[in-house]
Amino acid sequence: MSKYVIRRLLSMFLVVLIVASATFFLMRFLPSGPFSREKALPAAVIKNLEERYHMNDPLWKQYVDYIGNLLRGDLGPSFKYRDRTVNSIIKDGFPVSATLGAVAVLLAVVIGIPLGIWGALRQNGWQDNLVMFVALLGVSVPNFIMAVLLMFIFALGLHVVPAAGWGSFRQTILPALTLAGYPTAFIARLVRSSMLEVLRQEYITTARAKGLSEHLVIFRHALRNILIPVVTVLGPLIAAVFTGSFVVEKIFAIPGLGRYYVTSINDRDYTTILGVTIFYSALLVSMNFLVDLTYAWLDPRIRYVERKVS
Amino acid sequence: MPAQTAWQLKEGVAPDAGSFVPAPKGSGELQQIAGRPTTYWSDAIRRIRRNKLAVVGFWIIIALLVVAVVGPMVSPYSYEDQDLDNTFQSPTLRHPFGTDQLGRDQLTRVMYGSRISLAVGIVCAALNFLIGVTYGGIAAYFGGRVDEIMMRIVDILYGIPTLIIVILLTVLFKDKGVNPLVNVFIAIGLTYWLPMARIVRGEILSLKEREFALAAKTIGATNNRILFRHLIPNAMGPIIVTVTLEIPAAIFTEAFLSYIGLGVSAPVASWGVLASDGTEAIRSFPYLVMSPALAISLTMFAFNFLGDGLRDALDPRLRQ
Repeated sequence: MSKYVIRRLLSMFLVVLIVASATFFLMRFLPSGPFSREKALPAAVIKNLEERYHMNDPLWKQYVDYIGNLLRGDLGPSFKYRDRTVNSIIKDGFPVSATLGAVAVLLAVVIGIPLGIWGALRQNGWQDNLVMFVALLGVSVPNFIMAVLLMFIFALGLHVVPAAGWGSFRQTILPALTLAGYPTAFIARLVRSSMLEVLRQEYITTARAKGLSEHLVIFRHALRNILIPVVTVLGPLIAAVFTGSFVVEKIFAIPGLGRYYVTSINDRDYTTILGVTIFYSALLVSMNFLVDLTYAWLDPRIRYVERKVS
Repeated sequence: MPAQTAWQLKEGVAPDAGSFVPAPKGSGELQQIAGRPTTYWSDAIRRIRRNKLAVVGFWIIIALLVVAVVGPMVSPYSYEDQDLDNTFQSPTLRHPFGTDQLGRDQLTRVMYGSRISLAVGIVCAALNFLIGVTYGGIAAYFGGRVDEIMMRIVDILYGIPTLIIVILLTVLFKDKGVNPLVNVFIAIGLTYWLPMARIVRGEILSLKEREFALAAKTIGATNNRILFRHLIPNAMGPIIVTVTLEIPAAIFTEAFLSYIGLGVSAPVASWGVLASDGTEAIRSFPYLVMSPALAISLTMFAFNFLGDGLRDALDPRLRQ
């Protein structure tokens, strides 16, 4: 197990390093730099700016410096906001995005699992068809459309919640619902199909034969085994929630990392794009790793051992 | 070998163990196949016909294709004609979906947008098909170290959210002055083949151990021929399902990119651009955002319905 963990940590490090290098060089290939304005700056100003950000160093030196700083956890200054560092942007934006994301994932789990179970228990009945139809809708409606529709109905039409902004619980509702849409639908479909499979297993027949109540059979015996596939998809779902936040935070005017990311792309703020991309991939890789560990913990049959290359 | 005695049912009796008598010799109808033989594909078509949602999805896609091709041709307006006297018109007979902030006919723009979305879907499906199938096929067929290296690359790319790669590529190509639409094609085409590569690899890994592959090898078929003529055609079911489910993802990505301002931009009317323009006017003119929103959602439903149905029909193992 510890061998597995070390192997995984090494490969995670490698993935993040590759992402960092690839993004670094990609950014340097962009013809329009952060200093290109509508009105051309005097050459002397550009020269000074380049000197300040060490952009006149040879490319390899910039790269080595950047990776060196990265290893020390320093993502450098923002090109756009002269008095801010990328670290401070992440420190401001990430807690907001993380809160929103956590609420959304929680909603998805709390709504998606019961929906899926309900559908499976009434297989091919109208309840099942309804659940599957709604789930397919949830997978199909793009998040920015969902955001606009929810805002239109509940904020502009019914006036039950504020249309945008961040800070109060009521302002969290719409963006969290928007972000939760896709994962909820995904989990509901997954739970339904795994439930159908689990219910056909012999241990369920045994449990029923023992005379256990249906309630106990479902929640004690079946549910535990359904959680495993749900946990495995949490990694990609968390990724979907993060990328969803790019547009949701923009629409609902939430000062989260996703919005900073999109703004930095439009501003060609190299260092912020670079830093946040690295941050996102590190986060995602660690999430996937955590998910895999949880997976092993939930299912004692899975123990990670040295994999033989076949 | 003992003589075979054929048995037939006594007439007019309920069938049980004693109700069989030997058939008269030479009756000729000892055994007969009752129905027409079903192949994999005819079986799949039969199954998909029974899935109402999939059939609905199929017809919606056909309708969309017709609208995309014919719509802008028969419309009296063009997608970029401005009419500054008639901005923000509510839906009327002349402008069924109203007009936008520059007086452009919204219906025409939405119909034009369907061209872009469907083009993105088709081009990306084709690229996905070419890159993903070939990549996964080669990795699985040659196996060993080749497979190990090729799939590690896929694993690494998998670790990064696709949308981030697409965004970075879009920024790169946009600043290089590539046509925005081509740019979106490239960015999506270069990233969306990953699931396909994995699925094809899994299929080929098991197919290449089958007898027909061995047979092809013994008669001296080249690797190329075995892979592309024998193995990949046998993996067509899962490949088609994956393509059908990747198309809505590609359409979504284009709309998303255009929505956040990285994809196609005005005056070209992509659904993402229309939705973005509509969102800005949502407080005063909510109908503007409704038509592109409905169009995108309907298209995504249709492909997802069809893809789901195809998955159930073609590849029961993938069923979720």
